[in-house]
Amino acid sequence: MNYKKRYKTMAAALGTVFLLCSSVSFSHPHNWIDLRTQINIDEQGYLTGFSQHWRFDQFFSMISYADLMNEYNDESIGLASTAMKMVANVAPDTYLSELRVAGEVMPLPVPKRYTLESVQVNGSPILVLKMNFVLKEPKLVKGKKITLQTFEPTYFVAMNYPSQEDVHVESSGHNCTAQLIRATPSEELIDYATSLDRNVRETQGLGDDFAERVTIQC
Amino acid sequence: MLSAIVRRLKIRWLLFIALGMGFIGLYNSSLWSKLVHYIASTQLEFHKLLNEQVMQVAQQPEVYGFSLMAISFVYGVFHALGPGHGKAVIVSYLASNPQSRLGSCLLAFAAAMFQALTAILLVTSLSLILKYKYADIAVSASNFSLMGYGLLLALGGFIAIRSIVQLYTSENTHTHSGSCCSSANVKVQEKSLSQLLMVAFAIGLRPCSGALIILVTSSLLGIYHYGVMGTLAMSLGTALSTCIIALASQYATAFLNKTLTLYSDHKQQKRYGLCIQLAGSIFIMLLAWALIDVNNTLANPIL
Repeated sequence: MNYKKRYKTMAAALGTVFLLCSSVSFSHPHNWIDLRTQINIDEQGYLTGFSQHWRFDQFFSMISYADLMNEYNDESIGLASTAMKMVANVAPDTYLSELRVAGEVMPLPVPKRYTLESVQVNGSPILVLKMNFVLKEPKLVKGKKITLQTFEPTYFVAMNYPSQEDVHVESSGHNCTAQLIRATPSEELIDYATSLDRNVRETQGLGDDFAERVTIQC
Repeated sequence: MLSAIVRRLKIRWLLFIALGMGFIGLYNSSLWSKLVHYIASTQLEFHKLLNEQVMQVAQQPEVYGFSLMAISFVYGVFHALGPGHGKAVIVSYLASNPQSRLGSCLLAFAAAMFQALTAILLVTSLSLILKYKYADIAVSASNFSLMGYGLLLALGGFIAIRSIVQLYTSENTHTHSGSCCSSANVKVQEKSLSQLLMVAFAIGLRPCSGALIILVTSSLLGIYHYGVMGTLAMSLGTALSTCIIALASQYATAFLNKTLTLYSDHKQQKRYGLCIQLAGSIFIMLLAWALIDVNNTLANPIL
């Protein structure tokens, strides 16, 4: 019965080797966006909307810039057309943002203004998408809690605020304070996102767990 | 006749199922996932570093040219130690189709080289010659990968069918005569080199993401030749560490064979080998199928 013992050793050896190698990976995320948000509250204490800057990562920016220059041969036309495409792509996902006042979701209209700009950083272009959302029905927010979450549901793209300074409230004299709450995904979730291949059905909702939350109290 | 085979194989199948369960259990253990997470996050840092490195090369090629090669090589080594489908296939192939040390290393090197060549071919032909959009390179890369997975599925199926046929014929000969069919063994050996290269080719059809990054960035900055050299350095690094993994796998397989010689019956031992080959090929097929399933969903939803 000596071979039984050997089998255990053998299984352990084979198992280790298998494990070292068999997890399959295209770890999420693949692109990064640095966020910057300004929430607008008017003199009457109504939430009127917000404006947001999406600063794309260097690699994505370089490729997209090169492509738009090749396609349109003109920077301003290329940037404008790309901005249109981007906004159209995120429209079904309500521009990747969820704005709530006292728990109630505010419907987001098409951004009133949006532009894509190219900034030179270390000799290469960085793309910044600027959008301005104006609510159709401004909401009185005195004493109510406003929350804003911006995330890409599949977590293919990670969207983060680099610092607390990137969240700002323009409260027109009202005493409103903004707070940035970092996501605290569990270790399992981080592993889930970074170590394994997942199809959309499974990653849908993953972005939510990594989303940072902006809260405003007036 | 068939029921006799099933009866004979029953205990072995139980063993395979137990082994499989063991793999799954270990695979899901938290220690392992921590390690994978560490490797994955370090890899992301490497991607950024590679991109920055190429940009520095564009400014001062004579200063940063060499360090790009060095970083690419290190990335290659590190990348190969991280999780990846190529290693999963290599290990399951080597575990189920025993090779010599040379054969194991050849498989690892060939896979890494094919992977580099795919990346270079892809970027050169699509963006530099055919003037494709850079964003579409990712799409073409995933199409290439899909071909690779399809090829793996076919190879897995081929090996599976062959081992089933051999199992069946060995059962037959067993009832008629006791001698072992050594001629069949020789045939398998002859086939193994081309089969090995096919496996490497199938793995290599999926280009390495780090290689695509330095190739695309260097071509955008007009220093494409540095990108190509970096890619080759990277694949050397990958080959080196994959080779170590392949040798570990080869060692484990050799150990398995040694253990199995405890069986007095030479034929029984051969059937064991065939069963393992069958299990390995099924594993490769499952892996390929999972990869095909996942492949089409990789796209940036914003642009």
